[in-house]
Amino acid sequence: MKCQDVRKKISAYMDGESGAAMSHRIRQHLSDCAECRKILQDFQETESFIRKLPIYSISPEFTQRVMTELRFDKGTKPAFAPNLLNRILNFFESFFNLLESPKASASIEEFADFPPCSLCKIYFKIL
Amino acid sequence: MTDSDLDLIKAVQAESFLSKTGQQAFEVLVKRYQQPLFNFIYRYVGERSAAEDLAQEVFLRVWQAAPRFEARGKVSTWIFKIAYNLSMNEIKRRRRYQDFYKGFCDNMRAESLFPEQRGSRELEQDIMRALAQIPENQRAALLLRVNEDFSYNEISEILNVSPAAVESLIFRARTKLRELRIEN
Repeated sequence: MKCQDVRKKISAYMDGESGAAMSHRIRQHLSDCAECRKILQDFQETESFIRKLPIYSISPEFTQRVMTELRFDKGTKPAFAPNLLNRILNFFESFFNLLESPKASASIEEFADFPPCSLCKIYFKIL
Repeated sequence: MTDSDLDLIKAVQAESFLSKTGQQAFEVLVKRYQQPLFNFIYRYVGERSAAEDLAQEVFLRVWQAAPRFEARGKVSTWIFKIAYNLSMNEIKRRRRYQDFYKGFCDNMRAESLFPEQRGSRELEQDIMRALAQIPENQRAALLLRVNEDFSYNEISEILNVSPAAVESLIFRARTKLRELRIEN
């Protein structure tokens, strides 16, 4: 197995998701290749850092808050008003999602677009 | 109480809202998932108050959708899928109105003062800053794998992508984090 093939699979191997046959081949390669072993070791060290992130405690009253909210939602809240509000919010959400492009900010190429109505899109995105 | 997640959802489905049994079953589910869910959302979105609000919204959606839940998949992946979608929307919303990544790092710095944190603050900040630098879908896949121990198939259900795509997302996340470590 070539190094570049092993490196593509090394992450899945680490997670036990590469399958028995592939894992066997990777293990064999790793026993001979110090560079690939180093990558695996780096991945494992990085992972151990993420596992060291502290456990953040949720507020003690969280459960009670959720249950109260559910009782209010199902028991007493009128259904029409929130639904209407949600529909309005969803409409604007969908509208902005339509405007959104995968790029994080406007690039100079976008200004070269024609017709000039694309400026509206850029304007909303910058907003 | 040792009921499985599915038993609890079935209890919620079988009972009306006003019944004590339905509420009790749901409360057990909330207690079981609130902590891992909150941690996932907090690490993903990067703000404590937003994470609590989102976690609350997740449970509200779970409650509302419980009658339609079909036992084809696991309850845990279903709950985390709702959490992921809501968190993703929140990130998009924030990105639209403010410099999200600056806020992410600032929030993590400020919120490191919480007393329940057990690790070194500096290390925690470094990790969170590094996580903030990888794309959202890669970050979600990695957190679900590393912190929640979901399999690639389960993560693929949560993120609504193929298992091969999950493998690629996690690989790229690890590669990026490795590069960041080497740079520093």
